[in-house]
Amino acid sequence: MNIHLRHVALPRRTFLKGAGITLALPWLEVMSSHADSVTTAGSITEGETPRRAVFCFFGLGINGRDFTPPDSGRDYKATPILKPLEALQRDFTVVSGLKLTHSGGHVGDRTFLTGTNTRSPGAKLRVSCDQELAAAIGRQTRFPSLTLGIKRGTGFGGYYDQTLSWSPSGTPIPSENRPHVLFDQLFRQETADTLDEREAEFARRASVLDSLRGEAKRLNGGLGANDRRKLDEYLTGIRDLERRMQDEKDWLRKPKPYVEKLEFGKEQSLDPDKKGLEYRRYQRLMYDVIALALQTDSTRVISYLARMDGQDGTGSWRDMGNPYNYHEMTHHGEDPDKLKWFTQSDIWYMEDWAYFLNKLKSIKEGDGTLLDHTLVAYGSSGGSINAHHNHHLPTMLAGGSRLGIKHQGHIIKEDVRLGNLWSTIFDRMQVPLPENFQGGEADGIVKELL
Amino acid sequence: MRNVLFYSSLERDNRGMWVAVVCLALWFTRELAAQTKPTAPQGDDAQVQQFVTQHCLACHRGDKPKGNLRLDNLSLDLGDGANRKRWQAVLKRVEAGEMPPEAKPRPLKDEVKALTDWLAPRMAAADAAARATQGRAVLRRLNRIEYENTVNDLLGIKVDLKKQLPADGSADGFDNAGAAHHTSSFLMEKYLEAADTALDMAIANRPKPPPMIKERYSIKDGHPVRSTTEDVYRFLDDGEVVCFCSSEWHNIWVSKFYPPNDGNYRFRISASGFQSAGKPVTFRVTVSRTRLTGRNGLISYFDAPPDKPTVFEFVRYMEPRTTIAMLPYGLGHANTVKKTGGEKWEGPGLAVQFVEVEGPLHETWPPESHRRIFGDMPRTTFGIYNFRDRVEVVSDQPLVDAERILMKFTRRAFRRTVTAEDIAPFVDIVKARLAAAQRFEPAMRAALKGVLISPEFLFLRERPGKLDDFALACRLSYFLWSTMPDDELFALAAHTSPPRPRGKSDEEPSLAQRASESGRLSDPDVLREQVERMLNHPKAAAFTENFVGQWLGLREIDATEPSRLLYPEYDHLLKVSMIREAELFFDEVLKHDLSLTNFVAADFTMLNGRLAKHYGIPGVDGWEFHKTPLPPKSHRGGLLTMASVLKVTANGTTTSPVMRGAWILDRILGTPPAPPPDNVEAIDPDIRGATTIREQLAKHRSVESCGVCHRKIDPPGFALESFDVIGGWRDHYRVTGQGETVFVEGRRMSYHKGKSVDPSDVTADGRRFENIDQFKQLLLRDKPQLARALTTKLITYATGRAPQASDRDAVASIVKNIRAKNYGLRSLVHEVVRSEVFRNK
Repeated sequence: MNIHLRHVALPRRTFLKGAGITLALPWLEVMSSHADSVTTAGSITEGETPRRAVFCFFGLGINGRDFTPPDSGRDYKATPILKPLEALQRDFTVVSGLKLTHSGGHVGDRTFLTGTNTRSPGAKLRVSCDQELAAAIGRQTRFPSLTLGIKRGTGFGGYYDQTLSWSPSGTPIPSENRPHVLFDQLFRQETADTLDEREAEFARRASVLDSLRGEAKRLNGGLGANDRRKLDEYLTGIRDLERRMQDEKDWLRKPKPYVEKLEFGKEQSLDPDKKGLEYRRYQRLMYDVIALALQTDSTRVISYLARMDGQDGTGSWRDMGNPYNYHEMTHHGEDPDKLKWFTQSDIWYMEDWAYFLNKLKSIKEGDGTLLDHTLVAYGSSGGSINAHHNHHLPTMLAGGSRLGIKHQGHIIKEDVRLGNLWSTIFDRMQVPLPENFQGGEADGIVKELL
Repeated sequence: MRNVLFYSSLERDNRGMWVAVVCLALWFTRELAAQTKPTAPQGDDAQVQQFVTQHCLACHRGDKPKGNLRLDNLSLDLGDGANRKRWQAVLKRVEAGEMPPEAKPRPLKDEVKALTDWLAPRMAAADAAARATQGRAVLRRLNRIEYENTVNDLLGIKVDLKKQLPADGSADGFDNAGAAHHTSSFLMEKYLEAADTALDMAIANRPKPPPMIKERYSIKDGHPVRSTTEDVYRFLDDGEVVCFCSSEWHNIWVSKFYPPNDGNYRFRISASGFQSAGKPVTFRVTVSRTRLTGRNGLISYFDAPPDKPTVFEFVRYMEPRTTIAMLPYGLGHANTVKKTGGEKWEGPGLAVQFVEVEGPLHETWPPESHRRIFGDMPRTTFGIYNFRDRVEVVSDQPLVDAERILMKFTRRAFRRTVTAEDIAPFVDIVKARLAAAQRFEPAMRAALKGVLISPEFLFLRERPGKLDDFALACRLSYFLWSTMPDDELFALAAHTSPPRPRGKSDEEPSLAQRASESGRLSDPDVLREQVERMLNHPKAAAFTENFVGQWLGLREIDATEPSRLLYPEYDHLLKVSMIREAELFFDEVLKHDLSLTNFVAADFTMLNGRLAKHYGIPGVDGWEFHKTPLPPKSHRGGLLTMASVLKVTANGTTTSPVMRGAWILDRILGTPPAPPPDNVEAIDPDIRGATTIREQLAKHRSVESCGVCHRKIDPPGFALESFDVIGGWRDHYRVTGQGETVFVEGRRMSYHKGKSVDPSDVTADGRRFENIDQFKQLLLRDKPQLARALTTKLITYATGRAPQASDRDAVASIVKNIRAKNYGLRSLVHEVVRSEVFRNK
């Protein structure tokens, strides 16, 4: 019945118009099974290989007894949880002993990339380092950065964050969690109508925003210094929005890269906000799209909150017949059954992580691979010793060999701040450290990796 | 960076600083008496310097100060608010005798007094000076709840805008605090989008109302009834269906109702209990496709009386392409029922005769929201390709109309009187559009959008000093209603007569009308009557929901999911009942001006059947709540022993006396403990049952550096050990490891019986209690403290900033005034509104 209605509802003219657009763009090629070439989208020049950084976060920590290798060095013996990565041993370094001064408990998600944001009353919300990177290099790509998560939105105001990314004024940036929607945003070609409409909308917005300046100035008159600061923030917000709109406009008419459409299958079960999530299928497609985004130079900076603090959000235990959720396992209270499942879940997550790294490694780029040109951080706000403390964070840095990273297998950096690893990434991205980096929670780089 | 670090360290250990300061003062006076001046530091602040040097600096100095609190470089420049805040904290700790720590020499009383006498007046003076130019509170932006309510009231629509906006930061425990509100380009973008959504909803481009649906449905056509292979339903005549199971996957959608248009719809559900042995059958109605977090997505629970078909009617705003779903509560499991089959099953069921839906409901067309902006201006067809009969408002004299409309609209949007100068930027938008040959309505939409994202709309404008009547009306309205003032408040603020309600012209002149002759909003009598009117208004539900939700932390009800192995009885009905109990209890105390000591101990509570069962109190059935007297030995009464509070202060698996103790100190006693130092690990209870939390904490408290705080934190927490993570009473812990098997209603539970609970302890000042009942009595001994704590919370919520040092007297005077009124909660609200703190910026 639906189909019948559609035929009636669609006027013939519209249909032809639609078809015209379809033909005007090399859209059919995208759909064809022969299209396997990937064009790039950023401001990349011939022979240039971009530098990229990906920050992935797995909330609540890991079962450290089965994760942290007992020995250090390039030829450490792989632990049960690291087993899935064995073939990649030269492509990553496990960095043990790092700490996040202001993390611990269930609320380190906010601290992970900001160094200091906490949920304690009076804590000042501040920028995350992925956004600082994006501010430095983001204009070179259509998307200055991608903010991804296992749950959509920011989660801010609720108990757990759903994003790792914070704007310079300390506003959480909402994350996307549906691989198929993300794919669309990255690669779906806009129709000429849509582009015209978008451009017109930019113009409309610009004029409305413009009218507010005078208004704000008049209000400014009678205010004290504290209030003026609030109003300044408002004006900065307007200015930033105008700038972002300008950037978007600059990219608007440049075609998006053409890539072969991924096989998404049933989309309902790829949406972690809905019931019936098929976690592994979701997770691998998410990694596929991330790889495509990097490969096409659609962005060079990505943050991904892959597992939440508190309620992990992945629902992974269901697929394995695990009676516990991730949080329950981390509070194992030495219960052997929980510890058993804890390790099994971690291995399971790590298999997906291995899939991601292998994916990046399988893509040739210049004289190396995509992985060699991407700094991929794996980390957590929760420690690896017991429950989720703020020290001995399970951390690894993968990739980046062609960006000057020398992998060391397993290194131990007792009592060193996680911010130092981020400093190392900035160093290799060739971006100078911003002022007050990590709110002071960084005091050097991890030299062993260089 | 230093500021941040210092600040956090101070929070952690201002106790240390305090002691230090007190000590210093003491030492200084003694020294002063003993010797002649030369060695004493020069200058006016010598006393403070001396005190700090003597009592504090031994620990609090250098790069690695104790408790991360450094005093050797803390400036006495009290003009700097940050310094003031730190010294304030130091004073508090020293005065409380918490610092220097017990093991160290105590400063003399005189020394402390000397310190206080020097610092306190100077800090108050500096604070007052800052206030004269700045005001007390910081410029507040509407938070997203206030934004949604305000836009809806301004335009006369009802649309969920909150979910389009990022959540707001909180300060001092509330999300309406100016200091915590930031504005960024991301937020501005969301405001632009939300304004579009709202204007699309308010302005009607259809020539006629959308087609009306008026149907009677049978749930036999709903999913999963029509498609399931499980035999759990019985089909009677005339489309009546009996549902026998409560399994989640038999949540029944009214699938045939799937409206293409949003709007308000009236639902009438006819249902009755079936084979229910004379008892009602409770069922829930939810919005399809919504996650049931908190109370989200729930329309309501209803009680279907036995055998007597009863119609349950409600009006609900529905988004397009959504429907409602129904699920009976407490019936059999699908896997059990299907073995017997729906035809032969003899257990209780829910019979649903029909579901009627009517809507979208429109009293007029164009709707009220449209007329509020454009009045009866003519409309003409401007079709677009898939909306041929689309109409738009047109105007013969567009600029004249634009000015008139914007003047009226902006006055309400800015919540004050406006001048031609105020609306000029928006008129300019219209002019520019018209000049670019755009039509009238699109140009007006752009201008209205401009108003909705302008700073005067988004921020609450308050000038330093006494609030003018408009600002006062706003403060009052956002305090008690979380939205903009209504016509009556505006009229009182403007000192004009409010528009007379249509058809009521014969009535007595309203209060506001009389006020326009005799007084204005700032008149204390008028203010009092307005507070009464506002508290009695349905919009006051926002006060309960937002204030109580944050004061008690009820918004965090879903922060943890109780372990299904340990707490199989936890379900959705129990969760929403918990929240409801706390809110209704607050309402009851507020409505009857009962003493706020009821929050600590009360002889009644608000119960429905599910909660009564949870509390082991007989005689209450069904969803509806009743004010229920508590039997002796119920151990309930007051907030502390409410399931909701006990739930949000525990994680899903275990309770922690530390968390609960800190909660009581902060929320009930108003003496929040310092957060734990960063280098301390949380205690994880051993859920196998080998050791109890008490044994673990005992070790903890014996360490001096921990004990200093934990002697205060732990005892109130231990008093609540008799309650499990979902607020059930327990004599023994539930454990997953070894232990006696537990049976409930003949069924073997997935948990075992663990060690017995010991809720006794000794308070920090040495008073022993055996259980929660005795502990509550101890709390009741210091009623002024309970009143002070709640007053502080209310002022924070009402003004957007917590009371500061210089507000001490204001708080004390409020507490004194309500003492004479038996600490009545309603009296407290009146006193807060009457206070200088509330009536000044």
